[in-house]
Amino acid sequence: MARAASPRARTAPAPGARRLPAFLWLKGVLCGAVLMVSPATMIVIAALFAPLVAIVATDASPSRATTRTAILFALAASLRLLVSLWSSGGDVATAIAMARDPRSLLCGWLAIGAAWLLLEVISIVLRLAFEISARMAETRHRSEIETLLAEWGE
Amino acid sequence: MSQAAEDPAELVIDERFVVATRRPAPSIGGVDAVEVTHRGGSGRFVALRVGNGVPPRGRAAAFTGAGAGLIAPAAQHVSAAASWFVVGQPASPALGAQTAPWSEAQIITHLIRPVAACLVTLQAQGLTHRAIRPDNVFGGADQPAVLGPCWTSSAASGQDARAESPWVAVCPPQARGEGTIADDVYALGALALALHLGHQPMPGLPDSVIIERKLEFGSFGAMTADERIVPGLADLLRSMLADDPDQRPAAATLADLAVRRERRGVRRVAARALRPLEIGECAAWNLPMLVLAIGRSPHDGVRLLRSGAVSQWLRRAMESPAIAARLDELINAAPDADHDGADSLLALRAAVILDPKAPLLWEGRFLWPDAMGAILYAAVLSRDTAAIESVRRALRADAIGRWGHATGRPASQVDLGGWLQRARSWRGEGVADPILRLFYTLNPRLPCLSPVLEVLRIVSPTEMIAAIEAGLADGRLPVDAGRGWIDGHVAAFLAARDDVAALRSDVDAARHVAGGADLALLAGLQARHRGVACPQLARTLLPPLRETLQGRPGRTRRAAIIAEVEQHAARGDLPRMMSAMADKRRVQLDTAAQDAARERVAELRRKLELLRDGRAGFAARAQRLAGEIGIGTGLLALAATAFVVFIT
Repeated sequence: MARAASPRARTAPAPGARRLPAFLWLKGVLCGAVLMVSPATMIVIAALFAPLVAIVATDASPSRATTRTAILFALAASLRLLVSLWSSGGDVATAIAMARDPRSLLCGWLAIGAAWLLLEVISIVLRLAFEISARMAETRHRSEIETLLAEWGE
Repeated sequence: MSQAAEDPAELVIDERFVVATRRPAPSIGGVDAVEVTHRGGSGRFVALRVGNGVPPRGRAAAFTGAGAGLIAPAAQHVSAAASWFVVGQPASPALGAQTAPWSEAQIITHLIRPVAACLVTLQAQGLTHRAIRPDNVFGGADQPAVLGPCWTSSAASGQDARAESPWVAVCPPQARGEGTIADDVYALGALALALHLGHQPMPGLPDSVIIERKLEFGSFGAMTADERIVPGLADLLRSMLADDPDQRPAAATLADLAVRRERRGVRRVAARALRPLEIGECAAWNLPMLVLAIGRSPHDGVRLLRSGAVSQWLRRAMESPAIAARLDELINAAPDADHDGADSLLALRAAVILDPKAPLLWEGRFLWPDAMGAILYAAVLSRDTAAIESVRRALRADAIGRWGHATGRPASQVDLGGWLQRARSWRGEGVADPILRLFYTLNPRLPCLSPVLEVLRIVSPTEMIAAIEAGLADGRLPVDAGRGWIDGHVAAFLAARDDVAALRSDVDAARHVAGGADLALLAGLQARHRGVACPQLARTLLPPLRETLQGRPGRTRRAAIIAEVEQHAARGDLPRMMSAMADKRRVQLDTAAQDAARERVAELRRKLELLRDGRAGFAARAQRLAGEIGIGTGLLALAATAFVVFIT
């Protein structure tokens, strides 16, 4: 009698199929938990982190470095606000008030913008540095080749 | 071989003889003479002019001590145009001018005894005269005879068939060789006979007929036919004119000869056949004539030998079965006719069996091996390729060695075995053409006849460098950059007269330096003979060397070696030029440096490729690095904020 194929046997993903990020479910569970425990915190974060949606959508790098940097910068910018929210009892009304405060919003969003800008600038500077270094090496090598060929011939 | 050079009107030889080259004097022994003024000395002298086309005998200087009975060279000079020999003018005319018959006493007293005494002196020095003939012996019926010069031409080359035994006369003039004193005794006997008769014997006959008659009837019989001779003198002349040299009296015996003493000469005439054997146009009546016939018609002679006709004739007509049996044995053992040189070797060996006293017979020519120098001289100067190739074939077939072994005797006092051994060892040596080497070895007084150096009249390798330098300095040699100095003649000249082992080493060194053969040989010469500095010669050697050096690796190193070689050339130091050119260590270092440079270039090209390929990844790399920097900065900012919020 032929043995039936194991239902747990994995099939290889089709080429071109997009793999979902690892531990995505864990992140979902974490977000859900925070929403359940402290909806006010989630309101503040959602307001302050709103531009991240655009960054996540445009960040095509495998490491998601822009997204991560922006999150870190946004966290750094909103940490004081969150602490004061938690200090004041963490009710939703306060959170909404905070989320509607233009200065708080501007602080969070500027941090996200600064993170994006920083990465772009660093990237451009590094590319420029690499190019200059390569050109200098190329010039040095060509000059040495010419000297050697002039001395010894082909 | 150009003869364009001409001597000045006056030549000073040995700082005491002023030779007036344009003022002719009466010739001596058939050699052109000019007047000579002897500075601060007495005596009358003339200078004999020997053109470069005449082979002078190698040991002319040795005749200086031959005594009063010989006109010896007082001084000599070799110029570009000719060789000059200063000699005392003979006090008496040549005996050939005298027509009155001499008596037996006059002949013995004034001719035979003084000439024989001179021959004894020559014999003691290992020399022969070989030019005793009426126009080269001076004196009179009342005074002792003096021998004329003999060193101005190759031995016996000026003798006619009357003055030489038939087996000498049958050879071409240049192939008669130094011979022995017995040959001089024969010539003296022929001269004595002519003086006694008052005319030359066998008048009006061509040489070929004289030779035939001498072989047929014996020399004395042929020369005295129908002539009246005093009985006592007849016995003496019969012995002096014996065809077998061993039967002739010794010179010492003749020098002490007493008048009117009873003498008995041996009369031996070759046995005559019952009927002749026709070979070509020659009818052989006896064994010597058979050899002559084979020599004159070698093709027909060998054909008759192989067919057995000669053996049959020997048995039936000559009644010589023993000789016929030896001949049959030789023919049976001989290789086929198509074998290289087989016919020539067969004729040579047959001639030895038929008459062991006959000269060497090779390819239809009779020759005495000790005449090889003169034979080669004539052949090379006239560019007689056939004769040169004939000698080459003779050497290859070891014809002379076989002839010497078969006859059991050397041809003369010349060291036949010695030069034969040298000739054998030269085969395939590769330094120079063996024939040309032999040519220069056997003609030691001969200057180098290379078209390049002929004008310099270089006789010894020791003077070569200085002579070339002087020739370049005074314009005798054109300063033609890049010309070759070492041609076949120069190579053979050096190989014959210089240290062959050193020469071979030079040639080996030259193999490692492209285009450096001339430099290697000339540098060896300069080093061996402590030659003078030769900047002009060195300059002519530079162009091909520069061309060679252009192939050296490395521009800087190339420039350095060229500068070094030019520096040595400017000083005229050929050995240093050669050592710079042939520095193997230097070449190895240059080659290794070139290999290293090539590897470095390949490595740099690989790096360039990598740089080109790596440029496409710059963006991704920059983005990755920027991301890492951004995350780091973000963590730092978060930590700093946390510190401010929670700690302070």
